[in-house]
Amino acid sequence: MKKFTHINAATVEEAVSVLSEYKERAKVIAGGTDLLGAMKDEIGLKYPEVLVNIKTIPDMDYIREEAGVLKIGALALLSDIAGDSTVKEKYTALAQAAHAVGIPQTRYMGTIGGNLCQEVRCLYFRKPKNRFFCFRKGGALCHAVPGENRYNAILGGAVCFAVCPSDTAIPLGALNATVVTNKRSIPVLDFFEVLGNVLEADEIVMEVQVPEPKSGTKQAFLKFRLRKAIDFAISSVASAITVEAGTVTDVRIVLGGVAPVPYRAVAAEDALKGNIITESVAEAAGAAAVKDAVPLSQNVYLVQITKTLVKRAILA
Amino acid sequence: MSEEFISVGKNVPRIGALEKATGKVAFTAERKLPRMLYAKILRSPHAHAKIIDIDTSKAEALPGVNATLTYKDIPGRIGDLDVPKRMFGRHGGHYILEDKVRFVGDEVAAVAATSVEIAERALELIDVQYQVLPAVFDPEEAMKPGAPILYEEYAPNNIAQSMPCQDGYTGHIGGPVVGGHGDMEEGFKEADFIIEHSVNTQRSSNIPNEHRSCLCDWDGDKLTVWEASQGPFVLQRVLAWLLGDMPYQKVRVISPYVGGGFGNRHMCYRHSPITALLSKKAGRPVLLELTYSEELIGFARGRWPTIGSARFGVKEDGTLTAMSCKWIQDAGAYLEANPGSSTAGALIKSYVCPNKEWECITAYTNLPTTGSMRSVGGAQGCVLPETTMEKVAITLGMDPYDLRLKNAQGTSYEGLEKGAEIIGWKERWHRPGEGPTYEGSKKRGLGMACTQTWQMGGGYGSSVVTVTINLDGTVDLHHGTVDLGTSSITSIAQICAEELGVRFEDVAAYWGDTTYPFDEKITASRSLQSGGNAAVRAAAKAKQKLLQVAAPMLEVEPEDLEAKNSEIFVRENPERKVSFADVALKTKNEQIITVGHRIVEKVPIPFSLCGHFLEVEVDTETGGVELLRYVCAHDVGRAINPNIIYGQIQGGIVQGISFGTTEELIYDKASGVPLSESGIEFKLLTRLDFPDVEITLVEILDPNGPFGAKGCGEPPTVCPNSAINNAIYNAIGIQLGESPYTPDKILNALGKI
Repeated sequence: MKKFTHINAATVEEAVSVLSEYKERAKVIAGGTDLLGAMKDEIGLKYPEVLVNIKTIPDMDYIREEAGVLKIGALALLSDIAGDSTVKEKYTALAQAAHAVGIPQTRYMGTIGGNLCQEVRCLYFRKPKNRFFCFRKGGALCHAVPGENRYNAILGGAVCFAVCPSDTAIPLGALNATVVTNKRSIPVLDFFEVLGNVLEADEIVMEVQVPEPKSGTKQAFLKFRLRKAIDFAISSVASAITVEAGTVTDVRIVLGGVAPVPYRAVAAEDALKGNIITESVAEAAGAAAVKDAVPLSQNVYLVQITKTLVKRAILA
Repeated sequence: MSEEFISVGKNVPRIGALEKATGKVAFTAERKLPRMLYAKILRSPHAHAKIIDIDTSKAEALPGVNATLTYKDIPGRIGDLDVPKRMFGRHGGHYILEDKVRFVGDEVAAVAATSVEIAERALELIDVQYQVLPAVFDPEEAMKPGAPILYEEYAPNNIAQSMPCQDGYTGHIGGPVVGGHGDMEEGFKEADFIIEHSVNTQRSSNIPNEHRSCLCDWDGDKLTVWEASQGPFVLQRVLAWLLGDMPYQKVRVISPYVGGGFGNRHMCYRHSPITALLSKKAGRPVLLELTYSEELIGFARGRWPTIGSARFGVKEDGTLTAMSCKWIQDAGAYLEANPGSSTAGALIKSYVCPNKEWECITAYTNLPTTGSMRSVGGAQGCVLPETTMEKVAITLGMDPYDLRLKNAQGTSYEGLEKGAEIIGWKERWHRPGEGPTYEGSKKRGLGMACTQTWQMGGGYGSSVVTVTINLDGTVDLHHGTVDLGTSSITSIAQICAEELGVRFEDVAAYWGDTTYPFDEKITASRSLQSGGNAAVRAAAKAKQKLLQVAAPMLEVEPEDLEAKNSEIFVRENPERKVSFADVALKTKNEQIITVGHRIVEKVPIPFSLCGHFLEVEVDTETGGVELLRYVCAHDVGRAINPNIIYGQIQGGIVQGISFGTTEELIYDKASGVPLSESGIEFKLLTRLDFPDVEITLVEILDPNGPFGAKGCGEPPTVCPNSAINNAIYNAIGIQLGESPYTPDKILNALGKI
């Protein structure tokens, strides 16, 4: 691994000032489960000169409810989120997603901030030493399109077909969460972009806020993968469905693993709204979720899996 | 069955287990020598290229760099076609370093520096001029006229040719295998049905836990090598030869603990002479440790992909009249082992049929190397005949279990019968696709596959064990084998204790060093049988000598005595006894040291069919496969240490399940660049992905095995892929044509995509 300078930040201000100084030559480190691997493999165009360690900032790992809002500090561990009784009870899909990340070791190190900010796992992007100068790295093309694309995007792919690997972003999207940075509050689905996220060079994630779901809201998180541990989602879905007097009054369905960003399946939501949930309604919503899918040469199977997951999440 | 024994058949704790679990054992890469340097290897970015020139001057100028190595440093390009005959683990590639590269990851140059980081930086400063050549990534394409040629000697079709070994140790390697017996035309004429079937298997990798490491240290003209090897003596003799016909006594290989190998440590491979030469050039000890990715791809000696097609003739009553299996195999850029005969082995051994033919052709391609991986071709070779048998049974309207039993070869089918009974085959098996549906979309299926247990009673390499009776009556056992993780050394010590009549805890075992007596290597499930037989002989001789010393002490003849629990007593009057310690003290002028040889001899191998049975649940909406139950009944001969055997069988099956369900080395079809670089992309199963394997031991004694024991390291790995294919067929009613059996293939078969 190449050398870098490691700075322990005592406060958010200090972290931000280092970031302001070094800009794209610096990176934030918390759990490091994604970043250090990427650095060892020398992924990315600029090897960071400086890592700003934010784990040394006190009181940023809280999980608490305040006035109907769940507030999670950026440094809260995935294992703590997965095991927190309030999260498990009221924000179930988030607890399930946190538990579905990686392996126990990564959940004990990984933070929610890091889970949202991690880099994609595209086989071409992740090939060590930037072997493939792909679109995401400033190149002219996506190598996955003519190549191995079994784990690439079927929805919303445009020039880059890598998928958002975050598990927690999916239920956070379904639960209409907000990402709070040192500069602003951003709805979680607006936080992501095809080539990364909207964070500016001197901006760090400080907190995630999740509004308490309305009573009568049913949540689900389903993750499909080849192995029950380690693997990122091949396809995942999170849903939050509010049923009043038998009919769906409010619904948010977000797909993971199949698009460059957490993908809000608006058509599936529309298929549910105002309806009574039945097997056929759920099935129709599943089909609607993938109606805009444009699969690549190897990943047409993801359409079938995603459709099924959406149906099952609705019926769960 | 083993009640009459004291040590044999007992679950004594594995020798070295506590030391491993408490971190006291130093694996190769954990060793540090004074002034030690760290080596790194530069690997080819191209799938096929000629190296026009290579300039290491900038790398050498980097402070901290002590030595570099390229093909230019290899005197007279060591080796010619003779090299593979000497078990240099790269058939096809004959040089330690060469001016040609044949796959992305092939070795180009090496550096030794004062730190890993400096060595890595130095690699970037090596200036290599490549002339990129056209590459080929498909064995069928490689065999066509006009395909890029990897080796002039295998032009024009890249087909690996047989090379007899002339090193006096081993048989032949490589080459197409065409064989058979009977009259195929007649066989198909007699048949009521002719069933054709084809199925392919994928490229896999051994990836043991301990990454490959080598530490070399020269003292004058004497070289000491620490390396986790399956065959320290192979490494010794090949290194001695590669480094200029050194006397064997000048090359000492030390291999105390080996963090798994699964077949990819049984020869001398390029990295060992590279490390030795760097160390010689630098005049300092050099440690090379490969990364996970290098182990997975650059070093891979995993399963060669197979393209299989079969044609079976069968009578209405299920009698096989003709069996024909043909495979085309992808060797990758280099090759070791016998890709033809190993793949064809399953067809040859499992079923009786008067007319059989097999053909196995292996072609070189510009992809990572393949070779020996636990059962060497057995797991690939089993898939074609075993899935064809399934198709035959269904075509005839027969239960596949009955079809197998009807045609089974061997003297015992106990393994088959017990397994079927445990899983409830007869009550629960249904015709493919005709079972009930669970939870709206899930179909369950039972599947099975057979393999012969094999044991190297008939050949392959000798073993020598010495037994030393210390003057206090304790026993030292010296053996040139290694502890591969199979714990054969524990079992061999149990055998020694039993034969000698000494308490197991009084036996100390020493192994993993070429200064100990010779052992060929750990391979082909041979170590327990071979080393065990040598131990029996050495122990029997030592016991005889002890009895001779004890006889006058007890005033009887040696024939009247017996030894048990470190005591020697009069058979007719067990109260009259002396301890080993008392007897041993009398040998202080003439210490008892005996030698036991296990000699290579051709003896008939008793066939015994083993059955693997499993139940899967296929989600027909997602293509997901869940393993619900896995039952296997394995013939292991005498179970010397049942817990060790359970570990071997469980581990072998999990590795086989992984091969059937998720493992695959993926590469970019345009450039040949491997894409499964880490444990995230190369999907070895974890504990959550398979059920407890229900293991039943069948003990049909091998008259040539020590106390009747058979080897069991490899056979468990053979069946799982085939059994999973058959179980999925049973669940969904469609046979899959290529492993691993991933959701995309299942959904495709179901017409869902």
